Amino acid sequence: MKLFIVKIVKVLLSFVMCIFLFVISLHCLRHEQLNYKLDKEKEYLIMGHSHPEQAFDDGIILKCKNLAKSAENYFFTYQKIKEISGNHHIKAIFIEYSNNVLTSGVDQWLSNFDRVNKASQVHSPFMSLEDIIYLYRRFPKEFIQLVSTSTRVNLIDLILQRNSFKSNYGGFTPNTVSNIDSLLTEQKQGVQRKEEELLDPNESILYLIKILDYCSEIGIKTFLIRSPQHLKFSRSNEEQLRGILKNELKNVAFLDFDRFPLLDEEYADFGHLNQKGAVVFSTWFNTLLENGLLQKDNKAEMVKVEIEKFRKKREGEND
Amino acid sequence: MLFNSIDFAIFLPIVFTLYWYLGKNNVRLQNYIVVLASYFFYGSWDWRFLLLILFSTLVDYSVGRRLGIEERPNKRKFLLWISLIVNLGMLGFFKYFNFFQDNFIAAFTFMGRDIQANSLNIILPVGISFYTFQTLSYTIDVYKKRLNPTRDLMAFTAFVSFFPQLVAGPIERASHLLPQFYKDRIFDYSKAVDGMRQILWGLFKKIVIADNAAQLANEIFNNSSDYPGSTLLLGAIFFAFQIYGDFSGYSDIAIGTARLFGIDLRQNFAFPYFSRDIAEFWRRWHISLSSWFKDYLYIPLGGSRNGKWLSIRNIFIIFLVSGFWHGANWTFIVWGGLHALFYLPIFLFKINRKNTDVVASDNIFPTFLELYQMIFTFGLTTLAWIFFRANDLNHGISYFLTIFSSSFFTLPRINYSKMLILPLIAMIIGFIFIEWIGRKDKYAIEKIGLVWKKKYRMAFYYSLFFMLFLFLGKDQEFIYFQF
Repeated sequence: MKLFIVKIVKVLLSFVMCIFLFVISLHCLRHEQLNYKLDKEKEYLIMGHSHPEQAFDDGIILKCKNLAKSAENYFFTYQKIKEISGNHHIKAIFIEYSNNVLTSGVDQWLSNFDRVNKASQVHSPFMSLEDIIYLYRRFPKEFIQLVSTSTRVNLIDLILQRNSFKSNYGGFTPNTVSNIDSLLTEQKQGVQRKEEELLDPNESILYLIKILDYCSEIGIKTFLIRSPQHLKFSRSNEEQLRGILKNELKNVAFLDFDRFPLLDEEYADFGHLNQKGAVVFSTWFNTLLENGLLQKDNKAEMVKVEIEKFRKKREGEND
Repeated sequence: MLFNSIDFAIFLPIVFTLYWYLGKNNVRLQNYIVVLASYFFYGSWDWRFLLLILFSTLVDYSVGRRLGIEERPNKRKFLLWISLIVNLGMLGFFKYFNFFQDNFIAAFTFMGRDIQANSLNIILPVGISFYTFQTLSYTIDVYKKRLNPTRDLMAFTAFVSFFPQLVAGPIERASHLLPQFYKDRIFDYSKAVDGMRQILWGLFKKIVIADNAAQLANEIFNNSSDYPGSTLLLGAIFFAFQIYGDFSGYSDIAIGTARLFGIDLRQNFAFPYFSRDIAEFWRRWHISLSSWFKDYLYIPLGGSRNGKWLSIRNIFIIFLVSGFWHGANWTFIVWGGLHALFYLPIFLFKINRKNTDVVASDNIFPTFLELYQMIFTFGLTTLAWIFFRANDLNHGISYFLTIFSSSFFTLPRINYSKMLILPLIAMIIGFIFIEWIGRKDKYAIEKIGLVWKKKYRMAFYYSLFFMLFLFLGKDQEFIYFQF
């Protein structure tokens, strides 16, 4: 029986070793091979979740590439930036920092296994050992499946010589609906939408800080932005959001477009702009960039002033 | 605890080591270890299930003992009824109570009488249909004096609860399995290696074929109204491979695991998709259940000995009961009924025992006729699977009708990643090829250990391992656990 046990253990161990070596080799190979080529004229990137994804029309903002993706956690934004940073003409990255990044809803984006499994297939070649351990801690039971799926997808891509995941990287997604009227009616009727619990902020912004550190190391400027939100959007954690800005994120400029003047019909819902709103906002933002926003010392102040000017202009138009 | 889980990968080596080291040359101790391990295994689902299996074991053991000393026919019959009522009563309550209640209410409502009743929130104990049938076979065999009752409670408990086959079979006969718990079991290297090989093949069937086919089958069945007939047919084919890979994979793992403990279980699947008619399919699919129904239901009803009409009645009874055994839902009854309809013509033409050998046993390839027969039989079973998989009868009927609509003549499409579909189809083709090569053996890769040179053999095992790793999905429960 000893012989049986020894042989089985040997076979299993050698198999595990082979798989381990295979996964590592594939990881390195794909890391070298994957290459996201950004158009030369695109000097600025927009990153974040669905709010910027639907607000920044990069067809209008000429120097910007919108790579925000719905339900994307900072963890995957970080992996994405690592890959794209090979494009040395990138000057700055705008990263969404809105109220909902401190809620449990956003944490779900990194707790839902199917979602993480899908995103890992795209981004795993850029994960460091530290990132992989982080994922293991979140999914100890399903971790092998995570590695298995990423390996399978990357192996097939290697065979098919698919060297870019461009289509999975997000981008401006125009939203054609306008639900504000019905949402306001709901509110008037007293329909309560459940407020999401606030999270431990350190966990939520762990990878945001990593992004900022990484970009600072490689010389890319970073700005935190808050895309326009409807007046009725829940801002119950505003104080916490501001507190983190003052302490943990004090070295980064925060460009707040929260109260950007838009009409109800220019919103898809309280958190998202629709196509009309995106056009209005993107046109204004493009002008702001052209007017040298990024060269100004006090960018946040300039944003405030420009929003105020635009508000008056719109009010005048409406009168 | 699923066979394809990390928990089982830890549990099995521990039990194996204890069994062979502590229980060496001591049958009683080995049986104790089997019982403890089996109760732990079964209790890992829900410890309350243990009370049921313990109760069933004690009742059948006691009934068996009494039958061994009782000679008066009336008393013997009474003892048999106790066992039948306890076992079938438990099965009926846990599995069918709500079904019967709902249907009675529906029937009374249909007749214009309103009846109010609340459904009970009953948890179906895992594997109850399997061990109930296994213990029933013991009592019936003792009653019929085909088997001597056991005096060894521990061996009997091990027979009822033996963990590899406890929750989804094969449904063992006491005459085959029980004596193995009396005998000295000595570690046999070649048997253990063979067991490992069969486990590996079972895992491949479950993880690579069944679990991945399940993703596509689920997508198509759950959104069947969005797809054309051609896609729905594809969904049914994926389900055919899902259920075969799932259940025969489970059986392979169970049989292989049992061999690690020096126990032989009966073959449960014999390459059913290579059958040339429905009768052959049922001699090759879930063999332990089909033969149970044949021996304990069909033959006692008279089988095919009492004229044409009674034989037809018996055929319908056995297929409908077999369908109902699978679950308390009309879909399973329709599934059984369809198989009875498919079986009937070959029974009436007396060609139901025409194909008892292995297809193309002397050739590498089948003849065109054999190929046509296999495809035709596979087609019939696949159509019947639609009802087996459907959520309810209406779903099954609409699925069935859509396949036979004009949308069948459009190209199939599915909202799923090609990254899964294409490799899976390649895997299924490779799987059919390997099964075809090994169709004369107990499981497809049995001969590899005996015939292939070591380097090729190892390369093959490593490829299987590699596929297991690449296609690893979420731990998916085996379909037959719900029965």
